[in-house]
Formats: sequence, structure tokens, C-alpha cells
Amino acid sequence: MKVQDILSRGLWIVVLVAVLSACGGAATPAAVMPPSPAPVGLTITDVWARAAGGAMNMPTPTASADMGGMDMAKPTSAVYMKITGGGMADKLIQAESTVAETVELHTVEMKDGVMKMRPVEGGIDVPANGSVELKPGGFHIMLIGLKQELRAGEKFDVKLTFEKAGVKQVTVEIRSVQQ
Amino acid sequence: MSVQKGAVAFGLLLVSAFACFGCAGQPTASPLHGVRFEPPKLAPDFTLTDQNGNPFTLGSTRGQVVMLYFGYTSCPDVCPLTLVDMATARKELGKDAELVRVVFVTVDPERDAQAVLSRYVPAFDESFIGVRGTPEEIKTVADAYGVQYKKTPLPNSALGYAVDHTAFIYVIDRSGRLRQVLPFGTKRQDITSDLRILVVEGAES
Ligand SMILES: [Cu+2]
Repeated sequence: MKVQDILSRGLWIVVLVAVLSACGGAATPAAVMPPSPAPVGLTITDVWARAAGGAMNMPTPTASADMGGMDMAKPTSAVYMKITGGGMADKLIQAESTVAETVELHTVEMKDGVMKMRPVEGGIDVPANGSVELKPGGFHIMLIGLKQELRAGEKFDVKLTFEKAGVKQVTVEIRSVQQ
Repeated sequence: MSVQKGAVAFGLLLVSAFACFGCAGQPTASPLHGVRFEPPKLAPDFTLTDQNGNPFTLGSTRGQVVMLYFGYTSCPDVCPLTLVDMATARKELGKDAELVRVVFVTVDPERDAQAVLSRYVPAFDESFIGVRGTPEEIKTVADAYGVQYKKTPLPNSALGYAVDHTAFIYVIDRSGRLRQVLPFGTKRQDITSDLRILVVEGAES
């Protein structure tokens, strides 16, 4: 998402300018030391995933060629959340969970009515003192090959790795999108 | 499998309709919310295979309003959200819901096997029909509706490939005529409202 890139970079510059001018200006003796703004950590809120069937609802992949054979689509789902940056810009670089065979960072682009899903190269930027939203139609954490059914109302854990903040464990609420 | 010839022109029509989306020259106000086919024309008929392995012919739905959607089950949210929107809109019609059919055509027939469709599609609404065919059959139907889709390899993903595709709902009236296309993101209440209008309109004999 180019716009988002530009936006987050833009925000980063704004924040940087704000931090620099804050340091240069009314610098109290205590604030002179390293230019580390209030060390408010990164916060992750509104973490949810779309309810979806698991692999156990699938027949064993011994089926005939007409049934799709070994290459049948695996059940998938996606995890969404809002990540609010702390004083420093950060980047979500990896996600893991035991509910799926593979967990990847993806984004969706809609252009001229065409939906394209792509893996995110290099991670999802979290702007300093700003936020990034993983939401339908945009960034998501893709769960590929669900090992269990994701039932609305239940929960599971996802381990997120950030470039600077390190590993954060979050609990994902499974929601039926039927509302 | 049969598809009306010459229907490929739909594609061009659609593209131009979308190019004009949001521009001033919209034709006369209509209570329908989508991009309309003026004049409406017969929806290209086709026969594919449903999630139970039975042949499904679009023409067999005459007398009902049909929402036709092309997507794939590995789609993260655009397809499932659209399916949920259609399920919700249908339910809001109460007993008239039986006059509305939803047909999901997979544009990834190689992976969306019959067993995959039978797990995926009815989970949104038991009445939904998921259909597939050979890649050639799907291509013919998609072309007839002007659906664009393309397999894009994703070497860095366990998915292997994505299927980029247009995310429109094709709305067919009870007389089997293609009336409008709803773009992704159309509000649920607008879908419901359009269905109500088309259900009440009835079918021309
Ligand atoms: Cu994805």
C-alpha cells in the first residue's frame, strides 16, 4: 500500500520534527539526555479474526482427481487489529500461531474493482505515536491451513514479532462477521 | 456447458460503466444502487457443477432474483465479507428470502474442489450454491460476464498463488435479466433494498 507507506513516512517525519523541536526548545534539564520521548510502549487493540471452518471438516485428501486431489484449497482466515506505535517507529515483521500451518503478513489492494492479495514485503510499518490498522480490505495476518475450526466467541493466541519492540503475545477474539 | 455468444461485450460495458462511476452523467435516478445495465439484457446462461456434484444451470433459477458472485475460497476477506453481506441481506427479506438465490462461482476451480465448496459456501447460508467446472468452463462463463481474474504466483507465500479478481455482485432479476452490478463495499441495507424492489417486481412471463 503505497499511500500507507507515504503516510507512515510522512507521519514519522512529522513526529521526528516534533521531537527535535521539543528537544531544541523548552528542554528541561531532564529531557536533554538521549532524544527518547516518553517511553510509552506499543499497544495492540481490537484483535479479532473471522470465524472459519477447520481442516477437520474436510475429507481426507485421498479423493479422486475430480474432488481436487492433493492440491485442494486449505481453510484460511485472517486476523485484524490496531497497532499504536510508541515513541519510536516500529515494524511488525512476523506473526505465529498454533491454529494454522502457516501464518503470513498480507495486504489487499482494490484497483478498478479488482481485488489483489499479496504478501507484505519487509513487514508492516507502525508509525511512532501513530497507528496502523489491520482490517478487511487492507493489511491482515493470514492464517493458511487452519488446523482447527475458528468458532465465533472463542479465542486463540498469536505471537507477533516487532523489529524493535520484540515479541508480543496477543489474544485473538473470533468473531462471526454475521452482524 | 453453454454460454451465449457475444456476451463478451459485457466486459467492455462494465469497464466503461466503472470508468464513469462517480462522474456526473449517471442516467435517470433509479431506486437500485448499483451500476445498471441499460437496457437490461438476458443474463448469459451456463451449466456448471454445484457443491454436491450436481449440474447447476443458471436458467433453472428463473422466477427468482439471483446474486452471482465470482471469487475463491482462499480469499482473505473481500469474498467472505461479500458472502456475509448477501446472506444478511437475504435474511432481512423474511419469507421472501426464498425468492433470492446466491450463486458463488469459483475462479480457482483447481483448488476449490467440490469438497472445498461444500464446506465453504453453505457455511454462509445453507441456501447458497457454490459452482465449479474445468478451468476452460469457468473462463467461458467469466468472459461472458466480463469478470476479470488472473492467477498470480506468490513465490514467497504458502498459498503458492493468488487469484486477482473483480469483486462485483451481478444482480439478475426474476425474468433472468442482468439488471445491475454492485461494487465491493455496497452497504448491506442497499443490497436488501434492491432485493426487495426486484422481488416485488415479479417476473415477466
Ligand atoms: Cu491473505
